[in-house]
Amino acid sequence: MTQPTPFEPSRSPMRRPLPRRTFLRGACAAVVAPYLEALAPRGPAAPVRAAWLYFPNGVAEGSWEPRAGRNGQLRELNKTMAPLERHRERLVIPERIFTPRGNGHGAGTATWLTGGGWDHRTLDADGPSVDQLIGQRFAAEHVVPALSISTKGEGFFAADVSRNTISWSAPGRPVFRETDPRAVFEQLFGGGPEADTSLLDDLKDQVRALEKRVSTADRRMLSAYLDAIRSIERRIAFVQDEATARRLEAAAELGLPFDLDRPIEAVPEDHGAYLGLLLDLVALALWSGASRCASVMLDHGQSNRYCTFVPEVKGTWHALSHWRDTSGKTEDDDGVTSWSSRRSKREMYDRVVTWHHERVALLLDRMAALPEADGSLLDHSMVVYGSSISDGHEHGERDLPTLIAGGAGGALRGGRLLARRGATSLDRLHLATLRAVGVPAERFGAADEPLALG
Amino acid sequence: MLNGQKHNARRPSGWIAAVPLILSAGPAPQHRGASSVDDPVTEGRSVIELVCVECHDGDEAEAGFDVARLIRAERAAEHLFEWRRAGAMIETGAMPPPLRSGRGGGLDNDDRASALAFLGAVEREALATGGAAGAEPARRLTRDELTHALGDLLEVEVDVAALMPPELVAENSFDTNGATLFIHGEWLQRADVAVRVAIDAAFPDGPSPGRADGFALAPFLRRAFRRPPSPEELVRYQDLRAARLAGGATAEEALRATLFAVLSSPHFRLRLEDVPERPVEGERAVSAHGLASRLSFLLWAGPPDERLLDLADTGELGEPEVLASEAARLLMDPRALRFARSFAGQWLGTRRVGREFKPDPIDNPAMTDSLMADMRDEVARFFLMLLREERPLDALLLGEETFLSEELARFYGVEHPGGDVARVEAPELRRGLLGKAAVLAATSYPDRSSPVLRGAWILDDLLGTPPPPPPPGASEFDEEAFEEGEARGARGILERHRASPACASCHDHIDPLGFALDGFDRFGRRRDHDDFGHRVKATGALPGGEEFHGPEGLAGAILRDRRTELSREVARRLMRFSLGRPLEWSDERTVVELGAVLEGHGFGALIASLVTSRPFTRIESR
Repeated sequence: MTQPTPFEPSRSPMRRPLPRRTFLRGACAAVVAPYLEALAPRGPAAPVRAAWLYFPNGVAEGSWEPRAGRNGQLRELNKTMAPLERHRERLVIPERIFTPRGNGHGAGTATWLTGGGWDHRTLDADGPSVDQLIGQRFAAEHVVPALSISTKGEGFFAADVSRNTISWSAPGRPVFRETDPRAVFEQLFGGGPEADTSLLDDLKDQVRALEKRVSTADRRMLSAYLDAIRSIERRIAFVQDEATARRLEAAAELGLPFDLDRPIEAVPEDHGAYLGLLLDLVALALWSGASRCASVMLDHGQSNRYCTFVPEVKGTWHALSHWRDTSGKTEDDDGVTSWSSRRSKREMYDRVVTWHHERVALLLDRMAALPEADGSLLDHSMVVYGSSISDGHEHGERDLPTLIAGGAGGALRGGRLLARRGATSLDRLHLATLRAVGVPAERFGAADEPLALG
Repeated sequence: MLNGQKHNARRPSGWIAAVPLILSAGPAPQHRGASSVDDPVTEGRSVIELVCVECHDGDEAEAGFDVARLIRAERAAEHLFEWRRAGAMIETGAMPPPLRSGRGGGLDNDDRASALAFLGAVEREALATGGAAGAEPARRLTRDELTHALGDLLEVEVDVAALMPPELVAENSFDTNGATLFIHGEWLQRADVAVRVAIDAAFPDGPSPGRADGFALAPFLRRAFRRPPSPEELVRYQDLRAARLAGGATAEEALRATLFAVLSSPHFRLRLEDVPERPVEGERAVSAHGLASRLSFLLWAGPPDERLLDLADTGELGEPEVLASEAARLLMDPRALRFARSFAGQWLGTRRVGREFKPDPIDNPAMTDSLMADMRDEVARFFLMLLREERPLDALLLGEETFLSEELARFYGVEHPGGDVARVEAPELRRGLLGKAAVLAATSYPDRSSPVLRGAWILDDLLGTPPPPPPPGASEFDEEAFEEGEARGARGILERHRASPACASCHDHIDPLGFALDGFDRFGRRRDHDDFGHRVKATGALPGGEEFHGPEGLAGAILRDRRTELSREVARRLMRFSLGRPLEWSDERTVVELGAVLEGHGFGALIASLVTSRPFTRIESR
């Protein structure tokens, strides 16, 4: 048996039809951003873009709440959120967020972006999710309108639908999530193995001929097939567009670690480097105009990854999240790891979460450094970061850790705690995001009034 | 009579007499006579309506379980699975819960008997009126099927599965389930890469004179599309090849491009062998070519061979006897091991061993990847033997022969003749499924065995009566529990757990089954002391049954007291796997029929009956 490596250039090379451009090389002063007018061929100069960053297993009770003044002004973030402190003025922390119809590791993950309930029998999360609504609205303008990525799963539940899906294109249709940075890059900027458009035309004809012959249920499958072919066509067109090459050149000048001539490591050994690469790709996708929005799972729901890449941490993430139990013998504990006290276990749990906050802070750094028409990518973006569980041990369903970062093109006023008396559905935040990005939605999930961002 | 004053107070007098029907709000089924107040079925229906609807009503129903809607339904049988769920709760006494006044939960004996009589009537109605063909969605090839199809067609051995993203699977489902075989651009592109790599492997570098010139397209198309190509299709690909040649390509280049186009077609990548010229309403027979693929994708996880296609061309495959004898032939082929690995591995959960169930390699050096692969394989080969040799149902739990590698034989402590995997007499404790290391590991946590997981596995995967999930707030093992464990062993912990009535209603059924297997640790090694150092006492019991001891005792008790449940569940799993869809209420009739075949005539007859059953050979359009 020969075991080919994915995407290994062979006799069937992944053709890269991008023309090499050098006009920006060495001209540091002339760094040009994609959404500066001269280089933006489509859409408004700097549309508002969105990203959702999901993390599993929640945070320990009391590890999210900031210090704020009476008027809601953020004074200091929670100490476990120290890495994000440098972005405090760009953050809004809404209190008392909850999801009325789906909670926990499975249902909560599946419905985090849909505002619906989870039916495990029909695999229905009441999609489409908020990111896909945006992607569908702006499908004509982007090669991958709604990018969907995550880290590669580890341990139990790494293949389970509900714990591995936040993005749904329709009820019962999870969006494929790419986990390999090189493949994400190919998805955005690579032409595919054979950019043969006449073959694609022929395939479309075959599918259309079939559509006349099949039942309604089968027609849905064929329409997914047509969508898949069209997405490949879009990709080819995007890659052959000279502006795309110029965008990539500019990104390289600005320090994004992508260069057409240098292969990207598939999945780096070091988990920090891996996640960093994926988040850099998010910044690149949004900034280059390849995508309007991106949904990212920093890890899959109920992740039981060994977080030994975080200093002074032992055990799996999910085991740590049950921080009140130190026996070392709960659920997915390995029976080898034990903790001396609740306090030490909670500290490790916090450390894992803080480590992920740091990756998010680095993404925000990156977005703030990418220039665009009167501002930065971050100024024109809305980044939602949170989990579907509050306290991991309690499987808490109220006060879900949630924060919003960025300027949303002026719609979002940062540095604030949105103090609220009653529970607020996450649907209202999603509705606000839809509107900020330019989707004229009347309602989302159970919400008909958006969360006030200004 | 009804349990609880509140319910009684709400009961209008003479109410039952005013209701003429039995099972449903619709017209009363004709085969039943006029009901009377004494009819336990009618009585049971009103017991449920009065007791359960109190909390289980509408969108706000407790546990999201709307009994009011079920009661109102036109045909109760169409909600068979929901009624069964209700029945399990009533039977175990988990529902109705204790009233606030402090009375105990459950129903009094009369009411319980009536409620169960009603549920029994729902079962009978479902069996009497069910048996439909079912509507399987067309689906794409799975990652494994695509790999095998490319390998079989191009006669290459190349692991292109590694190039495809892993399949997402629904909880407790099979990867053949059409609902999770999602199609998206990335899947299409990765499949392109897989096809290209397979073609490269079929035409290795260097001159291969003549191979391309003599390559006939028509037979290749027939095997790739799993039916005869239409004249237009043949012309399309001949033209493509000719155009490439005219454009200056070599014979081999032109052929490669043509093969790529064929293997890109939806007719190869989707299961579309059986698409009528125009949509057909209602039920129809699956075409002979559709049957050829249904058979080969079930038993080989790959495309039909020449013989199957020939039998489809002549239409002979439409004959039940031919279908059954072909199934037997396919089972004897080495390719059948793909099916056994996939089906048994997913059904029994043994596919997890070495994957999701992965002990720390440093602390457990004996648990090598190769050993765990051999453990998985043992179950697959054992199951395949039952089918090939047409063994009776009992062999599933008592089968005396098994298939061991040298490493696994050492692990079990038995003699091995040396060399490859060998068929050997299993030591008594290792007979049947219950003594197989992969089963015992798959039903353990990576750090310890669990009587609860093992008991739940028996109830769910073997008997088809999965215990309901623990209610919210049910405690996991906490520190106190582990102090108990240190003091009294695993049995002590669970006895303490069952002292709570809320837990006992389910755990009284689950735990005693698991304890029968307590003589095996988390890897399936024999042991005398449990994870807490206490002496193992491997006695167990079925609900309401006598005590038994060890895996042999458990196997004997299941085969004596739960034969029907066991054989029906085997049938259900095979139907779900082969049809690629969840089962519906109307499938239960086929389940009962297939279960009876297995019980009476064994595994060979089961396969023959499955592939000639109405759901397998017919299809509905809805």
